[in-house]
Amino acid sequence: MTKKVLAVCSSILLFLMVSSGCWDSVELDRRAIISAAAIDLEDKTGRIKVTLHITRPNALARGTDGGGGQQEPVWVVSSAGYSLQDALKSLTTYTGRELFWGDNRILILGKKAAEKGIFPFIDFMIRDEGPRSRMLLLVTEGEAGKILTTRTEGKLERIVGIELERLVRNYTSASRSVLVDLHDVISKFSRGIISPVASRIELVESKMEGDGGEKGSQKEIRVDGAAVFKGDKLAGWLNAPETRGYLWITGDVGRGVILVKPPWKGGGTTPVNLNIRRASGIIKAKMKDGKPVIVIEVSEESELEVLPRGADLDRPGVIQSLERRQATVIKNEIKACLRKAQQEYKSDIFGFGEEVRRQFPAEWKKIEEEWGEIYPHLEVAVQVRAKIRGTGLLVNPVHPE
Amino acid sequence: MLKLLLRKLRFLNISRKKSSRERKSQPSMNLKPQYRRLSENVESNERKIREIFGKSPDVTIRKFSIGNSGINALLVHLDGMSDLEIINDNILRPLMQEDRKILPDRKNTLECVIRKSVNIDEVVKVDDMEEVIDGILMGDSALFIDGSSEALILNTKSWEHRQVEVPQTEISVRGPREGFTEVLRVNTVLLRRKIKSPDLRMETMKLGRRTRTNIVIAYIKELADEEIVEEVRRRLKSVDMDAVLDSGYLEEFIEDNPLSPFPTVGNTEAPDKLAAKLLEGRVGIFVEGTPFVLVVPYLFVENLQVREDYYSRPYFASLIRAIRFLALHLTILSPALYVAMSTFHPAIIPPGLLVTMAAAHEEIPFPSYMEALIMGVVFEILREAGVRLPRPVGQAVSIVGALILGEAATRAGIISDTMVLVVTLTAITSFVIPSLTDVSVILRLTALIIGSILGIFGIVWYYIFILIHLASLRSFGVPYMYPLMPFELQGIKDVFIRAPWWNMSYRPETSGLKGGRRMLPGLRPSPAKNK
Repeated sequence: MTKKVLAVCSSILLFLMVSSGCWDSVELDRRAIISAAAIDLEDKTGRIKVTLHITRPNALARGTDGGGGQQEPVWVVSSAGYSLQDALKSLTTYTGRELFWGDNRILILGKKAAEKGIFPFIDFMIRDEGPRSRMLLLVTEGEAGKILTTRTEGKLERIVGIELERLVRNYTSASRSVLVDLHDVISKFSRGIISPVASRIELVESKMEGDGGEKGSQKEIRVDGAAVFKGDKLAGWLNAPETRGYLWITGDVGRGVILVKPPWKGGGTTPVNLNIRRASGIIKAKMKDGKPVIVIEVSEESELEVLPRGADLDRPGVIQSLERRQATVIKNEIKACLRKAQQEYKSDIFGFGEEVRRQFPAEWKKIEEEWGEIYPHLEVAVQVRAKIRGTGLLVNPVHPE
Repeated sequence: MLKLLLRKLRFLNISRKKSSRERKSQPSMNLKPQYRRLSENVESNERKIREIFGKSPDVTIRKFSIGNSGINALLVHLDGMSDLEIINDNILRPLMQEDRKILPDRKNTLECVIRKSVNIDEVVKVDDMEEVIDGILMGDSALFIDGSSEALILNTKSWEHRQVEVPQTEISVRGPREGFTEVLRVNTVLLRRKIKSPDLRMETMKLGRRTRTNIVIAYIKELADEEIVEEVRRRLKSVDMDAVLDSGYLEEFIEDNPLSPFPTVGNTEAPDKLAAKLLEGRVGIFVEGTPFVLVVPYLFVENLQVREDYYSRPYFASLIRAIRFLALHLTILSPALYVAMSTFHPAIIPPGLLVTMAAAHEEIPFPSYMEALIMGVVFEILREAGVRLPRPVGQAVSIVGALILGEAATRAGIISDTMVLVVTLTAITSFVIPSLTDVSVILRLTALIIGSILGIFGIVWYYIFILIHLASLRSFGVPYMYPLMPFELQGIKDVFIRAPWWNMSYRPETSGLKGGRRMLPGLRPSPAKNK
């Protein structure tokens, strides 16, 4: 009896194992490992152009025969189609290997493609089992493919995709940019009333002078500022201070420098450097006369880093006035960001609507329909508590008389 | 397929029962009845013995007269198995030269010889030729005296044997160095020296119709479960075969689940380890002629315990034990996981590592599971060659295998570097748990095959199956996975960690293991309190 039960159970298990097993085994040397991807919209034809960096493992191997250095670490390939899928399928006419998305951490969108709407791309990336939702989203003002074709070998890391990922992830060291992956975007889409942002990437010309005085120029990749979406369409850009304003509100500021004018006499034009140590931001919704009001509470702690000549921290009130000036800088950044997002782009990237809905569900139902009209004129109060916690190893500056 | 297997199982069970029912209680030599009775006549006894042994040159038969009485006597022993000095000085000399006292009493010669003449510690009077032959074969001497239908078996055992040496299979840095030998008596002495208690009981038994191998069952009366001891007796008695040359012969007959790859009977070469096991209520089975003593019941965790754990300080012992657990999983899983991850789930490999792995695998003509299989089999061949060959040659083999073969295979582009690394890791980790080396080879190869067909998903299923199997195993009625399952707090102190001795005040306790306190409570040392 028990043996019969055992036999039945094990045959069911066996059946389950075989029927649901993964038969999609592909050897590593039959896969094309994508390390970065760019999507553009072609002007004339309106087709989608996808550009990929495909890693050449051989070029990266720490081989003894020295074959590594000669090849470029990635193979840049692009193709076009009427949808992303279409473009990717036509890529199979270029490569005999199966595209492997699992290692791709970078997705760059061109301005045109982003303006048309990113939803179809995001949907593919999330729906297909290959790509990972931890892929970082970047938007460029020009053509996305150009970044990948210009830069085929990283400067410090050999693979551009890895270098870019580290670049974006390092946003916390200056807080001038944002870190957004597809998972963030899709979770914002799913809530509907909050619009995503994305890192802004650009190619810049950097001039340098050689030994013999000849001038050369080099294209550098830079991640600075943020792209603002309204719904799934690109609405505009935030510059670096505005981006930090956004980060203050969402509480994602890592480190960074705040420059304030010295409050004492004879300080000259040299600013006081304050290094951000800790920061947090909370969005609160309130109701005033039946209208929603948003209160943003930011608290910040910093450390004095560079003091100009003439500073005397022992005098009462110096630190306090530095703190006040610091708070003003932060407030201004936040205000600048709010102005852009509310008035110019009319895009709720902060989740104000979300907060109102959460706090006042009944009232939200009434205003839900006209949130688009309410948002640009929404009253937002900004409260900043900025502290200076330390002065480093010195108190007053030491300088020659 | 499964049904077939089940039927086979059932058949095995039935046939086992049948054979045990038909079996006789003790295997015997099957001497013809006319040989069995001893005669009063020495000549006739001599004839019988000559017929029984044939022309074996090592059977020494010495005829002599006792003193000057003219009574004929016969001394039989096996050359090389008995101590000639004892025979000459303690048997022949008193009987032939100094014996005057027994002369008057012809009727009671035998008793007189025992009482007054032979200076031998152990003398047994027997009247069955079978027992005489038995004694001779054990190295004793048999003394026949005219006019008596009984014979004396005199203890003269002495033969060449290996000295007590460091056990080869259980080497430890700290702890006793002596190991069991091939001689049963030496082995029991080694144990007795560890446990000086009359509660240490030993029972003897003879197994093997032809080899007549002595078996000793050892246990501690108060600590061992009487039912387990009885079960050991019952199972051992049922083994009716012609030869028992090593304890390994018996192991397969007394296992609870003969088809399982996991060992449910333990063995040890170290007397201290055996003593420790007996002190936890286990039963030891000595087999003559082998240094490996069986220990039952045997639990899974015992595979991961090493005697040195208990001799070194607990922090280090615990750390090493954790590493042993890790090594067990690594040795079973690493090739399978490598293949499954690289062919099914490359997305879970970090990007940098993936590129390295892909680079290593570029231009390798075999799929990775073939690589793993080839390297796995090659490694087993190398290991076997290294073990069998004489030691100096064995080292050469390992050098050729490890360095030249590995290097050449990667250079030639047949095997990828990372695969060599994985196989090396597997090889090293497999040596960490010697008692499971043979099991882990089987598990590793099956895991590899399953992993290459079904991916990590399959490996998870496989592990679940192994766990279910382990949970179903029992060793002499004790759950194999005890103390993990059934969970027991006192026992768990000696599984993943080795708790300090003063903290392990209870013996393991479950069905079949009696448990109980092994020390007084509150032995944890602390600074002396000031008055």
